Amino acid sequence: MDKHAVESVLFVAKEPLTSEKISKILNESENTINRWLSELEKDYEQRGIRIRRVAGGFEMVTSEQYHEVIEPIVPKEYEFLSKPVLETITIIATFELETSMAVRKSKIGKYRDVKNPDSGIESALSLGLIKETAQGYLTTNEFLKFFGINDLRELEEKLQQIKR
Amino acid sequence: MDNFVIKFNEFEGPLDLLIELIKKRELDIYDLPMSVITKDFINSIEVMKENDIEVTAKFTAMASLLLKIKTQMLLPSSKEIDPRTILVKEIEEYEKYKSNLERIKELQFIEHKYFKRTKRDVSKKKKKGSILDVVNSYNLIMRKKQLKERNMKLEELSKKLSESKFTIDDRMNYLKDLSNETIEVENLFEQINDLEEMVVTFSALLELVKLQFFRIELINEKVLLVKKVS
Repeated sequence: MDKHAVESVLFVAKEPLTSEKISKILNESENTINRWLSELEKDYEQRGIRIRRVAGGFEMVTSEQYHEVIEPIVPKEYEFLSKPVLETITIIATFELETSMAVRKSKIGKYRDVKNPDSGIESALSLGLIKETAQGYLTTNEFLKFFGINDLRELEEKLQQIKR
Repeated sequence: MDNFVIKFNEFEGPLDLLIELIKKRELDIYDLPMSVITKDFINSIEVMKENDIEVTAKFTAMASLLLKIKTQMLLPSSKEIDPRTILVKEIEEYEKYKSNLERIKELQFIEHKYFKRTKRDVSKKKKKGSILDVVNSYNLIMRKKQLKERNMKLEELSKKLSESKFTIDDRMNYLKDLSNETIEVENLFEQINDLEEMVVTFSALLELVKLQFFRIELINEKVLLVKKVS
């Protein structure tokens, strides 16, 4: 077994895979898998396909500089979140990032400056971008996948990286 | 003191206005001069009113909060606990949220530049519907129900028929065994009171005519069935 086994697994996967999951699939130690993954990440740096870290896992995506080439052949459904959903999830993500705690509905209503924040929360819940806990709302792995980020901290990092 | 007034269309809420005022005067938010900012805020609300911009309760609530903090600052206890702390924290949090909101909007565009196997997981399944969709599904269900009802009626009927005490065969034999050579149709049916028996008998009669067991004759406008002599 070598790193190319990991490569093939990533190629067919439809979801980001954690190194733990890959180690189970290939029956290799997680240490080995992590080493292979780092090697693969480097191998792919100059390719049309990238290996990137999303929501704590690894996935293959096309390199962003070729998006104009791909767009015409892969009719992509552009999904832009509505204003209420965007505001709701941003408030939750912002405070989760600051305090690592769930965000209450009253806070969402206050910062969004709306009388009733329910519909935005409901939509975000049904999209799976947030989850409800006894203490309030938290972002989900689905949230990270939607924005292609590994964790909330990357909200800032990723933008700076791209603008460079 | 200058009157710091701003164009208003860009504010969604009182915190937006407050932050804008702080920026205009280049105030240090960790040492906010409460009398200055409170005056600016109240003046701004006045200008909003003059320009027929709706001043929501949230703006007035913010104004009274600022006044309250301003008064608390005069109390000796303000040396120990700064009454501005909560407000400052709120301003910071709000600014962070607003800048993250811009980031997240942009991140959506950036993420659309990456293609992968299945990207539609998150929000594909949802589509905006209209009242027409509701009407359509209502009609569909009504049609299904009507069909079901009709099928049930048909089933009931065929069940009834199969349970029926009269069968066409029986009635055919009955007609064959009648001793008279001719049967007056009118009389035959007049003797029968049961609707079902009538139907079955009629069917039996047709069958026998078809089999040419009976011949049909008209005498004085009376319909007669005449047994054929084999």
